[in-house]
Amino acid sequence: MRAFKVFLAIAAAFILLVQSRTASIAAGLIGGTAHDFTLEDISGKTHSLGDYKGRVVFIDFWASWCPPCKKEFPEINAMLKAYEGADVVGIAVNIDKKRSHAEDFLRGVGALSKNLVVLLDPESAAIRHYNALTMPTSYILDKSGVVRFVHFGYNESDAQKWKQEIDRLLKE
Amino acid sequence: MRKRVFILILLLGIAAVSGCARVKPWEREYLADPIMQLDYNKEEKAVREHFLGTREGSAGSFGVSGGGCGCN
Repeated sequence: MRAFKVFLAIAAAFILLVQSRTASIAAGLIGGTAHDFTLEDISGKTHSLGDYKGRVVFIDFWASWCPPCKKEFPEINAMLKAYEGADVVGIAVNIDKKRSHAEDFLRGVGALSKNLVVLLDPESAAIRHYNALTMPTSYILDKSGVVRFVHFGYNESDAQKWKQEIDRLLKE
Repeated sequence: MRKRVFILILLLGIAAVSGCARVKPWEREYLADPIMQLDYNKEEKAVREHFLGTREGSAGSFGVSGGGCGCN
């Protein structure tokens, strides 16, 4: 019985440690300027994060091998369609090593929102600077390029949260 | 005595954990490949089990089977 209690205490301490680590990493990112990166989109056109200053930016790191990312992507696309014409841009950074994997997935998604840019990062160069703990991880930047919200992983309720956060940043 | 056993288990646990490496989320492409799953191909698994079951004519970990050629 005593050993079981000790085990429970260790398990609880471990869970708390993991949770506090997640919170501290998110807290460390929030309020800081997002790391600038330059990547190519599927057509070969180069985009830099700095190009989108003055707009609320939704950055999402995703991959075709990640099931939650594949669930999340159509949600992001639908959400951004609602913001077409507003000062909002979505940057979906794909980290597949083979671009054909991303292309195959995107063919199934259908028409992309006009304010969604899909960039390719086969070397995972950009994501390293964002301390992503899970796949997918998304960040919402304000118009001055400061990280204001971080979402590790994906839940079905996330789309509502993104909208609230984007609306809040648009009003600033 | 019990305390020593507990400490020994704890130390062995710590030693075992030290062999673990943290794989970054963006480095999991190969680990996420379906081929990394033990039974990624359900059809092949069923055929293999059928073949083994009939050739061995014994009860394996995957169920009970009779003898036969394993060809149907």
